[in-house]
Amino acid sequence: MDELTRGFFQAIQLIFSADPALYEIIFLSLRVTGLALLVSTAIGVPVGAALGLSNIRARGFITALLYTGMGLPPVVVGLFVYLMLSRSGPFGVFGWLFTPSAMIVAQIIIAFPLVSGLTMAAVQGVDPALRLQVRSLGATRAQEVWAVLREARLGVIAAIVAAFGGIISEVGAVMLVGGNIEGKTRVLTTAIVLNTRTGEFSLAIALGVILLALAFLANVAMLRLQGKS
Amino acid sequence: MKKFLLIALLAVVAIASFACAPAPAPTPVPPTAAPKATDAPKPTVATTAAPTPTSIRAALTSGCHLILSTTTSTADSGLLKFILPDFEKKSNCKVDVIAVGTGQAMQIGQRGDADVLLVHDRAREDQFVKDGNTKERFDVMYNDFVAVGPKNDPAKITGMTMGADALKAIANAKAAFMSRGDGSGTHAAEMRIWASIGITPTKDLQWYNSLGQGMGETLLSSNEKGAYTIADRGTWLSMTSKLPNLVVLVGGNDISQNKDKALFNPYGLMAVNPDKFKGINAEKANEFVKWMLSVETQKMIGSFKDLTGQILFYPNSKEYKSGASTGNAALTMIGAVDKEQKLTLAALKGMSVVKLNLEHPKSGKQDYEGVRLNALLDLAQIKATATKLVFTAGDGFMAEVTLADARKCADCLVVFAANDTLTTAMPNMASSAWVKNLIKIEIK
Repeated sequence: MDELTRGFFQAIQLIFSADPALYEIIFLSLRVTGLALLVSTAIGVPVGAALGLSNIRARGFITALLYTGMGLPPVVVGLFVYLMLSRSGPFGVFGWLFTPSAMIVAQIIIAFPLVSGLTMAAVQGVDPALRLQVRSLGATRAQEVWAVLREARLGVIAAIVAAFGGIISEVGAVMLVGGNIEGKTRVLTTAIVLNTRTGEFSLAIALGVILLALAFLANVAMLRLQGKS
Repeated sequence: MKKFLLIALLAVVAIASFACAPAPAPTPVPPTAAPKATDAPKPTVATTAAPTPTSIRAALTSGCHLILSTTTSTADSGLLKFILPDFEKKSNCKVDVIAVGTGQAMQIGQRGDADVLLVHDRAREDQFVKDGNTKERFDVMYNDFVAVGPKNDPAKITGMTMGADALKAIANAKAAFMSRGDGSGTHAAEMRIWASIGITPTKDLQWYNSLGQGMGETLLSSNEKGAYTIADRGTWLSMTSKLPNLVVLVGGNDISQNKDKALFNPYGLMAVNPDKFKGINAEKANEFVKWMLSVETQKMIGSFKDLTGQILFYPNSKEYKSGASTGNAALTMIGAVDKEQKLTLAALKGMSVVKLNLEHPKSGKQDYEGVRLNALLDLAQIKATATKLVFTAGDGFMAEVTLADARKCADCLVVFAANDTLTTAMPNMASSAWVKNLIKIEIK
């Protein structure tokens, strides 16, 4: 229990200590996860909407694939990305391995099924009558899709929130493809693993508290958006 | 509603502007991502022109980077943090440390994903050389393994000197044992000892636990479970304060007390073969190897101590060993002197050596053995114009004291420290005047 209370107070201390190394880690965590979320949202929401609105025959199969993707173990994603970006792999020329770019790629792959799968579910939940109605009012195809997405926005934002939670707390993939390099690819989760490994339990707890606080703030911000729109 | 539109717009704009952000090329977009161009707005990102690989590289790898794949023991103990700044300054190249088990470290090297390796599993290192993944393997440093276990020692291994005897006793007593089980260098050493006594530990043995974890986690679990384990001394020493239930049972208090050759733990340094992989930073990797093996860096490795003041690694390069035996100058004295001095360690030890109990401003009283500083100053015959002394350490650290102060201080010594390094002992002066790894005294 000692570690827990000490960790909690250490977290508060750390936040106000203005330790540049800590802020670097926090900033990198947010940058990697933020960019990965942005990309997976930009691809995942349209893909999810398209799947939810279309009536192609393979939809059942694709849905199953997407839902399975939500359960992808991050380490497996990490290993896949590692092998792709390795100098002996097909994308080795990019030189992305052990850089934040590799971590972003891994997180996009983890977040994409969550965003697109949950968006699809949300879009499917919209009353079909809405589409008929806007179409009868002379809406174009794009306007029609937009109207449906707007109606499903609660579910869509929930999808983005779920993806955010999934990737900001993820450690297996970023550890593998980022390498946990100090000052370069060390994020909150890999720093927690490092401190656990070396027995610095209260520091690990402190970083965990900071991670939770960040996730909480981000979620509050997104939920406010949800409430206002 | 407007907010929602704004976010969507922002997302698209941001993606477009992040040209250096990863293009989603490796993202497995399902085939329906581009449906019959009917339904959803097309995914904007997919159409963003991918920048050429070279421009991405330039944007992401600003400046020089050298990737060092190594074992957790060198990083977690703090050694690399202690020595690497010197290399980074000299070579103007940042070292990216990937600290994993030796097994993974070598796998990373084998795929050409690291430029240089610092690992400890001799058998696999030799295989690495044979496979042509490196041109040469170099001895760089060593320490040793110890058998640690619970204080009550149920298998009664206290007093044993051989790792093999200890493991045999543990197996006979069926006492709980934690194995790294992760293909690391330490795991390999443990398996070699088991093999030497004809025991093949399997998961069916109730007392044998193969954790598949790093040294730190394994020590922590052993501490919790009251189990035995084999650990590298470096990690053990750096974590002792967190392991109240464990003690060293075989291997003694330091490496000089360890009588078992099977517990010897040499580290190898290898630059990854640039002919085999594209993109290896061969120039800096070779520079790094040269730097690691140099006498100066070797002395730095030998002077590294953990928080409790214990030495964790011992220098072992050919350059260091030949330097030590032929007696390279250990201390030079230059500047405002009539007779410049280049003194070997042997020469210093041949002078009048005294042993004094002196008080360090921070760590208190201790015994120091060395040569009086004033005797050295007399030897060099200082010019009348001289006013101060500048001590320089092997890592570039410098400290200044006035000549008057030094002359007044009869008990100031140049001390023989561990690993054939020199240290100044300056009683009644600031701790910054106590210079470790002293190599030069300049008189101004």
